[in-house]
Amino acid sequence: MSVKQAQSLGKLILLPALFGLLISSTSVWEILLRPAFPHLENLVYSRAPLWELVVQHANMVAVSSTLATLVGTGLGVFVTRSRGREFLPVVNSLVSMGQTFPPVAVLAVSVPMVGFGYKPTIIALFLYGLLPIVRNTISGLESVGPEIHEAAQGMGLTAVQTLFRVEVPLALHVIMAGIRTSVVINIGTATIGATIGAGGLGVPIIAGLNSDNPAFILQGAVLSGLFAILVDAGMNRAERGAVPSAQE
Amino acid sequence: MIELQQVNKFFGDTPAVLDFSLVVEEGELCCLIGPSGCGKTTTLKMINRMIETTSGSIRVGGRGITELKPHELRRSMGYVIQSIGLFPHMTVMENICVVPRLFKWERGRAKSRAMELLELFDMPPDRFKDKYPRELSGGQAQRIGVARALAGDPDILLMDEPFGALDPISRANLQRQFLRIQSELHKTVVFVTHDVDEAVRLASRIGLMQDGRIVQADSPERMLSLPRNDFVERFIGSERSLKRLSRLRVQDAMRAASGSDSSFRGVEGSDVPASDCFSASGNPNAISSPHGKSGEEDPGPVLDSGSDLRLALALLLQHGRQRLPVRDENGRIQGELRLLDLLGV
Amino acid sequence: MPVLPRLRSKVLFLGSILGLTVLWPFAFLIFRANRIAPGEGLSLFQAVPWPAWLGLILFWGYFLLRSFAGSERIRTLELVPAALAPSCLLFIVGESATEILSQAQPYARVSMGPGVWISLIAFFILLVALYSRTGSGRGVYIPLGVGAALALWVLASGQLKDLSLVTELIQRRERFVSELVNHLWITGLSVGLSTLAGVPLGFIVFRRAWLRDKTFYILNIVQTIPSLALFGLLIAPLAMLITAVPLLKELGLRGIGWTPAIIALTLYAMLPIVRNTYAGFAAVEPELAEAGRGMGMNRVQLLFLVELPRALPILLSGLRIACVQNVGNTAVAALIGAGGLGVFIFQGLGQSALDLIMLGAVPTILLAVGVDALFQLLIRLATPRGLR
Repeated sequence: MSVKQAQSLGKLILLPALFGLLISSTSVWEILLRPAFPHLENLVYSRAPLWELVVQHANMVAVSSTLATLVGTGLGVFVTRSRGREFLPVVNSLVSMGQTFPPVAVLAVSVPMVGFGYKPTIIALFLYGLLPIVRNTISGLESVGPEIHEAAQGMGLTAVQTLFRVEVPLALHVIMAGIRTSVVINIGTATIGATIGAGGLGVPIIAGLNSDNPAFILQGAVLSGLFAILVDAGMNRAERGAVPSAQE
Repeated sequence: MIELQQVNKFFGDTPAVLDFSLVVEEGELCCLIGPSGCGKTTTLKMINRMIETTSGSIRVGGRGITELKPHELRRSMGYVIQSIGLFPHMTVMENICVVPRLFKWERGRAKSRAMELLELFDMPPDRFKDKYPRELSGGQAQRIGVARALAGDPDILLMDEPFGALDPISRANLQRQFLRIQSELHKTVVFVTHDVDEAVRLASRIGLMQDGRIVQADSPERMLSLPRNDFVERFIGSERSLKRLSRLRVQDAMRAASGSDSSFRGVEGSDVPASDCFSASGNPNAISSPHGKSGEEDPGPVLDSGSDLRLALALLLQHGRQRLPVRDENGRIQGELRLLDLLGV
Repeated sequence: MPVLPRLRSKVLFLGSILGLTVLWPFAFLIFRANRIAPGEGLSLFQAVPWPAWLGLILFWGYFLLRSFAGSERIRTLELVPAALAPSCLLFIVGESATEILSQAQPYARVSMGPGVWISLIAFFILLVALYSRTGSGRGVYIPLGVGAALALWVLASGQLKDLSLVTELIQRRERFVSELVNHLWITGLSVGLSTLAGVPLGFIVFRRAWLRDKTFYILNIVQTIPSLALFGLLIAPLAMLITAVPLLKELGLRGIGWTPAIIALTLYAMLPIVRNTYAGFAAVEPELAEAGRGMGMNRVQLLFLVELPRALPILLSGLRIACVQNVGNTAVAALIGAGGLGVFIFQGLGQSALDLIMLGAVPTILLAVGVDALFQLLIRLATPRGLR
């Protein structure tokens, strides 16, 4: 119990506070890293403020994941309705094939198609982020048993009412898990977006690798790692708050 | 022979079995019955050390069970559970051969043993040996479960509600089959059930348990006629006279035919084809009346001398008869059973 | 009064429309004066001779009509053109590339445009649509098999040698092979190490409930950290460790390159392997363990005769996830100097050399898809018939 409490306390307060401190003040980094790298000239990445990189990173993930969530859940709902059911085999095979594609390769392939920078990153993140959401939406909705459909129909619910009052609530935790997976993958892939000039928290890592500066690498790595953990934990909380208690 | 002496079992502070003493003789089929939570399954599992005793001693064939390693002890006993537990990744044949393989029998011997057991359970080996458990019906799967327990030719068989999950018809079939096999093999069997009818039908002795203690251990006949206290009487239920009848055979109460009795007119001298007769070992739905030659009077069904009296009574009542003819295994009329005779047994 | 035709198959219709976009607006081939020059799109009509584009139009036209008319059932004969089309398209692409380059400057390059990629997706949709409506006879898979063989022949015959991706490959053949081997080593070694540690850990976690939550909590966090970040986190501490303990340096460990790559990838692969090992053992029905114990199996026998065969398919699918994931993350490890196919991706990105990017990305994708297919086959083989 105490471990759980400590964990949730950490997630709630300590980690966000630490993250906030690390992106707002360069002197913290000086204090932390100077003993380890006494001879390093540039200790803190300074070409852009760290908080700006966080904003860039969050922006890429937010835009692509929002789009992917909207399109992905829509597509998942569509192919499980009688009108769209015909597309289910095609979508299923495209999704399971697409999920084996490594995100970094998808990101790389989008460059020849779209060019460098923000746009190909968003497109690649969006396309790749679609897959877990579509898959989980389909499997969540498909897991609602025929007896439940029959009961809903028997009670006089329309198709739309059945979807929103019965199917979606029942499938919600699976759908949410898909969105969470998608977002976590996107945060990771967005880090690599630095290599195609999309900015974000990968930038100090790449800069550090290029200029042989381990302090830069550490800054980028710690911040992007913390960012991913924070977002994941936040979504975990949101998920638990949103899901009907019977599912717990 | 299995001897349990003053066995106690506590789970934490909760008593499960208290001061339990019982001797199961060789070749005996002992049923442990009682309401759920009375400790009957715990008792059974202590015999093969799936559960260890808290105190007291259990001896099997004169040796204390703690003298052997648990897995060696278990190999020397067959074990059948309600959920069967056939291994889904093995065929029927492989399932039966598990214990022979643990005994390191050579392949040919294990196989022929499995074939033998399949035959014994009326499951043609050619049809069943390569099937997987999910391809079997519940009744078939449980027969394989029992066959598997017998594969290592153990002297002792422990059965934990083995037929509990089956539908009534397959259960009755399996019980009959099991009785037949037991009459051939004479294993020492401890059989846990909560079904009084099942216990009465199968057991040579019944141990009735309540709250971890044994309340009465007796032959079914004695338990039915002389329940020790209110609990036993209530547990056995109001139909105990009827249940007693199910222990007895038609041949025990019938009157042998003596010359030409008028009451035999209906079927006398006629060679009634077996298929037209009611066979008490078959499906009750298959009751059919042999058509008498005269046709003016329905002669009613013919009883099998080996079927139980409870069934015979049901048929007497159903057909509104005072008496019914009885035939032997060969279909020959042997005598008759009278309704009034049932009062005397 | 004419009746509007009723749409019989939306999937077929969508696939055909998607296929026809190759006519407009997407470019079919891309022409570049040299390997880093900006590309110039060539439409289908510019890129291929008239019989080819006419054939393509007729092909999609037929299936477009077919989505409105004809019998519900797709005949085997109709599968033949659909199954052979992808290889024919590749063949034509190769022919056209050779033709275009023969009239151009020496360093000019031709690569596949969006039109070709979209056509390939359209063929995929078409095949799924057709095969969901064929009979069940075994003969229906013959066209697909022939089509796959033909595609392999087109790829292997050198027909595509004038495509820029292939040109790039030929120019860097030796480096490509060595980086491919490198890639396979890194992925294989990390998954291997992770299996050695993860399967026992999964088993322990299955037996000891109190370890379960903590283990998964930690592994989940590791999995959440971006791969690039995890590589980065290891570099500085490793460098310091190696400076402090010179013996490690003699063992060949470094602060960058293989050492952090293998460590990070091994950690990454842990979650799917431990999770699926646990799930595999948890999937063993309790009555099976009871029956096995009751029959007198000891722990080891129970493990190998009952639990492991039951758990193996689930365990293998964990290995499959780990492998596919690590094929991708190994590409990222090129950034920290570990080598592998990612080298071409990031060199290409650095030089804006699109063909070089593709030389890294396309084989990485194919490798991931191939590993995935291999594991699916393995899982099928490892699943006893009674469990399917």
